[in-house]
Amino acid sequence: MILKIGFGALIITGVAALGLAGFRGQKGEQTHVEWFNDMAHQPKVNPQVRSDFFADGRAERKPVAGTIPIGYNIAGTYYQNDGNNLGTGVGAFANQPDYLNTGRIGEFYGDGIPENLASRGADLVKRGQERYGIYCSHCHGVAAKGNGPVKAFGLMTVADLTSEPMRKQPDGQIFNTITHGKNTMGALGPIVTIEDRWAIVSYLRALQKVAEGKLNVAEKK
Amino acid sequence: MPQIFQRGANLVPLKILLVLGALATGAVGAVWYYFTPEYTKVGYQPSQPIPFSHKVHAGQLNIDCRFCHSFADSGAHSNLPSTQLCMGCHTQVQKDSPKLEPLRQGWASGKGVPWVQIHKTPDHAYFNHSVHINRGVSCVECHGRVDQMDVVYQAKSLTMNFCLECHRAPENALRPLDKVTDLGWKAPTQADELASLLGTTPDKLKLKAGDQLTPGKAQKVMGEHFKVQRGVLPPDSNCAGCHR
Ligand code: HEC
Ligand code: HEC
Ligand code: HEC
Ligand code: HEC
Ligand code: HEC
Ligand code: HEC
Repeated sequence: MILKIGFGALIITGVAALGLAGFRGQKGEQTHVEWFNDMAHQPKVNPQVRSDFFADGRAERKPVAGTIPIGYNIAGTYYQNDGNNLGTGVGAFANQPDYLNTGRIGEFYGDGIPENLASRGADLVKRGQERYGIYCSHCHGVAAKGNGPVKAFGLMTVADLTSEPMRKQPDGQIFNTITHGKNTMGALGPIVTIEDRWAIVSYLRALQKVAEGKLNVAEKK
Repeated sequence: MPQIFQRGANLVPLKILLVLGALATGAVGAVWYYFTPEYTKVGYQPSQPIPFSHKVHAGQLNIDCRFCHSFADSGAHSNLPSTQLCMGCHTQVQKDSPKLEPLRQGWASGKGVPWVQIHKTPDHAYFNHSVHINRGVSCVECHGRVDQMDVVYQAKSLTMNFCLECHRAPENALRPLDKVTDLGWKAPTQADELASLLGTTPDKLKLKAGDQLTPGKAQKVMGEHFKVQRGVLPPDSNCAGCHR
């Protein structure tokens, strides 16, 4: 009698619990109750979260207009200094609109990879290869022929980067295209660091030589 | 008058104990089963303001994770992309799709898209993406096959136990750095292929040339190689490594 009632009740609650609460790993819209949320939600600001304190609803603040961070980079700022780990050997105050930062010398686009980066030689091209694969290849194609998968899905205007006019463009102009975009290509400056943009330019030059047949693929590596 | 306590009454305390024992076991079982992130977090799949599909973008279009989650390999936090980056394509592709209305609004107003956060480490623990990605731990270890998901859900528990399991044996996860965002990639199971991938010869890896390995073994051999090469030593017994 006792056993029957006891175990009966147990089985019924068990089934009811499973019915109500379900199994582990079930997909669902709702966050489950956090049983012990100890110190899981502290009143500190995490990256990319909302805050009702500020009018625009963002917890992350932008630097005050006209100020420049020293000693570290804010991604996507126009002038960057040597705050990041790639170490170009530029001083902490190198926030000028110089060739390294803008691809321009005065009013014109310059040509050539800035010296302090060019000295990294094959390493720079290797880095460029990796970064090209991340930032460019899905639009421009692995061999830069302007035939990445996105083109087939409707981004019709993607340019062939191995064409004659592209080969003749000065390095600084390509750098500028990455930074600010051009016509129908969006700006990638906010996500690609200065060093990486130059690395991509130098890799692109190698790709163009391959397309021209001046460099075979084995040499490239 | 019949006796109040019949013979069977001798067993009553025992039966009560038995039932209580079973109840206690059931309660412990329920706590074990339900009161952990294995239950509370795995499978969390909120609906997002825009039906953005990783299966299309990361799978079909083969866009690298780091194009959108651009600071995953240089910072602690793996960011979500800005509306500007989406619009780089969606000013042309599907530009009138009603599904993209919140994107266009967020872009025009500068307010962005209010994505719902899925994965969240409790604030008392420290996590860093770049250290994992730059040592060759793939996204798939902690997020599952995101490139096959139409709607992202939390695939792994990300409990402390989960972290430690890998920190104690990172060789089960390390892979070449250029394969970190290639979620379906597996170590080659052919001894010679594996050796040439690692830039050595089969005998240096204590394998016989021409051997066929199990996938687990191949991963282990590769992982051990990278562990030594990269000097990998994740915090496992040092609590301050993750609770700083
Ligand atoms: C979202 C797709 C997309 C991505 C990603 C992309 N591009 Fe483009 N790119 C385009 C399109 C579209 C054009 C054609 C622009 C036009 O003329 O309307 C273009 C044009 C160009 C041009 C030619 C500009 C000119 O002077 O005519 C260069 C150079 C270029 N891209 C370089 C790059 C590099 C380098 C990357 C990677 C860092 C990159 N692009 C990433 C879509 C893309
Ligand atoms: C085209 C841009 C894009 C690409 C490429 C992309 N993602 Fe995402 N990802 C997003 C957006 C937008 C969200 C937020 C909306 C959502 O959760 O679906 C997101 C969300 C996520 C989340 C959940 C975030 C959270 O709130 O916890 C994970 C995990 C993730 N992505 C992993 C990946 C991985 C791994 C890859 C590479 C296979 C990848 N993503 C490629 C844009 C992208
Ligand atoms: C590199 C180019 C590219 C980027 C960047 C990109 N998308 Fe897309 N997206 C596409 C393509 C191409 C399709 C169309 C696939 C098809 O036609 O089946 C698409 C389809 C979509 C669709 C489905 C539209 C429909 O009506 O079926 C949504 C929603 C979407 N994208 C959202 C986003 C969001 C949000 C972002 C930013 C996080 C983003 N996309 C970034 C290329 C891109
Ligand atoms: C070692 C485990 C691990 C690996 C590997 C990993 N992640 Fe994460 N990821 C996490 C954890 C833990 C969180 C929750 C972090 C937090 O709360 O800040 C997270 C959060 C995220 C988020 C959401 C961030 C937010 O606040 O909305 C995105 C997006 C993401 N990861 C993308 C990626 C991508 C892309 C990769 C591969 C390049 C990757 N992750 C590799 C563990 C990992
Ligand atoms: C699949 C394997 C794997 C998983 C899962 C994993 N880690 Fe790691 N973790 C590593 C490796 C490899 C390193 C690099 C160790 C090194 O650099 O020597 C590392 C390093 C770290 C570090 C050290 C960072 C530093 O600055 O020294 C922290 C903190 C950390 N992990 C936290 C976590 C947390 C929290 C989780 C769970 C959400 C987690 N890890 C899950 C493999 C993993
Ligand atoms: C690899 C990183 C890592 C290390 C090392 C680590 N922890 Fe944790 N710990 C975590 C993470 C991540 C969580 C949060 C898990 C969750 O609830 O999602 C956590 C949660 C906890 C909690 C709270 C559990 C709860 O239910 O909320 C305690 C207590 C704790 N850790 C103690 C320790 C102690 C003591 C040590 C040293 C022996 C230690 N941890 C070492 C990553 C770590």
